[in-house]
Amino acid sequence: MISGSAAAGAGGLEPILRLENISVALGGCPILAGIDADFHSARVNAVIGPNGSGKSTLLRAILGAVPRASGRVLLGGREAERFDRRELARAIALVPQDTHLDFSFRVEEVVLMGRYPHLRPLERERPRDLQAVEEALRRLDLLPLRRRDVTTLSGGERQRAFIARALATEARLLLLDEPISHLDIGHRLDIFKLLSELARGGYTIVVVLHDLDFAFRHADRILVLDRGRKASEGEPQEILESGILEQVFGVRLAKLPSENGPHFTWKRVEK
Amino acid sequence: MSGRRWTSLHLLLLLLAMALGLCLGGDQVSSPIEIWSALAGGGSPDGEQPVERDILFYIRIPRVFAGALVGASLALAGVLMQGLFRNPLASPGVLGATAGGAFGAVLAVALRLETLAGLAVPGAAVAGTWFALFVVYALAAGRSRLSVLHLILCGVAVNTLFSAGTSLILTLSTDRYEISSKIIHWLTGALTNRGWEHVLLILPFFGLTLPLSLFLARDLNLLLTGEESAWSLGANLDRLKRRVLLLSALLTGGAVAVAGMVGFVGLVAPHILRLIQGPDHRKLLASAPLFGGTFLILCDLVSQRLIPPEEVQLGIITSLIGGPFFLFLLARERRPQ
Repeated sequence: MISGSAAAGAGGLEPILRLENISVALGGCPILAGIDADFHSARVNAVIGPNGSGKSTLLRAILGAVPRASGRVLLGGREAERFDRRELARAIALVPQDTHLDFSFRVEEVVLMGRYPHLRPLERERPRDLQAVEEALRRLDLLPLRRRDVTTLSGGERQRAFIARALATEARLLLLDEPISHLDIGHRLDIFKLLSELARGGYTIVVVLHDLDFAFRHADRILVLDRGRKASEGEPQEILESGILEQVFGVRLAKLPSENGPHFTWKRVEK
Repeated sequence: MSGRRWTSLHLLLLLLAMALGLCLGGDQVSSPIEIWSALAGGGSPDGEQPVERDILFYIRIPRVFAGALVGASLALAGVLMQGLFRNPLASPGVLGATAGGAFGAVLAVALRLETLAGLAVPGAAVAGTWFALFVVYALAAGRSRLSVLHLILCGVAVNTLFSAGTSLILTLSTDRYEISSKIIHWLTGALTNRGWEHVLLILPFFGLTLPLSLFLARDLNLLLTGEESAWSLGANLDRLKRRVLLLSALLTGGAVAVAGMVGFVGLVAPHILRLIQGPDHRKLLASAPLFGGTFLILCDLVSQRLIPPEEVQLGIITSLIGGPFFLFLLARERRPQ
């Protein structure tokens, strides 16, 4: 990561992301206050919280895209601020929430953007860059769609193109901002299958989620945010049993009797 | 087709357009053989310089070059602006740059500054463009981050102000026919009587800007996928926005200084190119100047040959060709695929 793509690509490094006392204020309004969190490699880490709890801002703070009022972001023990911009882009990749595009890039052109942090301003793509693009396209089953205009793709296909772009950076830390919110159930499951595979392959996944079902079923670890503060952090089972969801979301998991065993559903509780 | 092939094709088309401009420019048609003998310097047997040679060297060649550079500058500025605003409908006009330039030129004409120095009017146009963009930038950059929406709103305000100023000067000058006709000449854009001094005026602006623009290609591509997304892949957004504004100011200033307000080139040229070769700025930034130059030379030819010996104003031609074509593109784009 530090010496560039070769080290990151070789997988000799497992970036462990540590947040220390992260506070962010926008326009005088505190958005995040004193967040401490560790994200380990080879795990799917979910970040959940009600609307306005600061989930997306947390991702921005990790990327340095919003000014931090306090705190440190440590990547593999090194302060993120000490990375130059391109170096950081080779270490952390973002799959943005909004993948809508007004311009008719081809799928392979979008994925190639993942290689920009590896290239000097006027440098042409090297064979290694094209290889990384091929690999990312193959991994997301995008080879048949590579020449397609992204503006003609379905939401799920576009999401895959942006995940492929993130993989093409060869960063081992992937941030995903609500990657499933516009997808149908089948595509949601596909995305989580992929995220689990990536995590097993040594990637560190940090995924912001609105859907609690998916968070609890597919994440290895969960960070709960509430009005800019860390409400809880732990294994899904611990979080479920701690009763923190009632406080934060005002919901609880209720068991429904059924012939084929119990079914569960979320029930509103009075705060 | 690869980027290089597109660039070669556009270069070929530009050279063809320039050749056409040399043969057909002005109120008389010359055959390629006449042009060639004038270029080769073969005088008549009695040793006199043929008048064709002077026409060629002092009228047609500089006019074709000036046209190519103006078209190239406007098209390049259009690509930069549309990239920055992530909007295929943006153009140098959006930020009030052209309105500022026109105001500067019109003010100089009204004050009869051209009697003091030959290039006073073009110089005032450059100053006006820069001033307009400076005001927009200063207003928009007051915030912590340079927001595109804020830039556009400031641009609209500045545009309105300068247009009002121009109209005011025009109203005050209606009783002085000579001045008001010159002003209208500026406002509709023309390449009439543009000589080598005009080519030399715009050349440094364009020559400086083109290579610097190429460095922005990747960051502009990233910006099209969203600000956060671009940031995460290493684009320095504030720096990018400042550079795009500065380069567009240089380009628009040079173009307005030489040809006045020539509409639609900066809007239509990038749009057409994007339709045929895709939105990748690494290709667009290279081919837009060539295509814009070709487009403007051909429009200038039409303006000269439509009702000879009179010339129709160039800005009217570009708008007459560009406007309907643009509407056609919009209608075509909206059709479901």
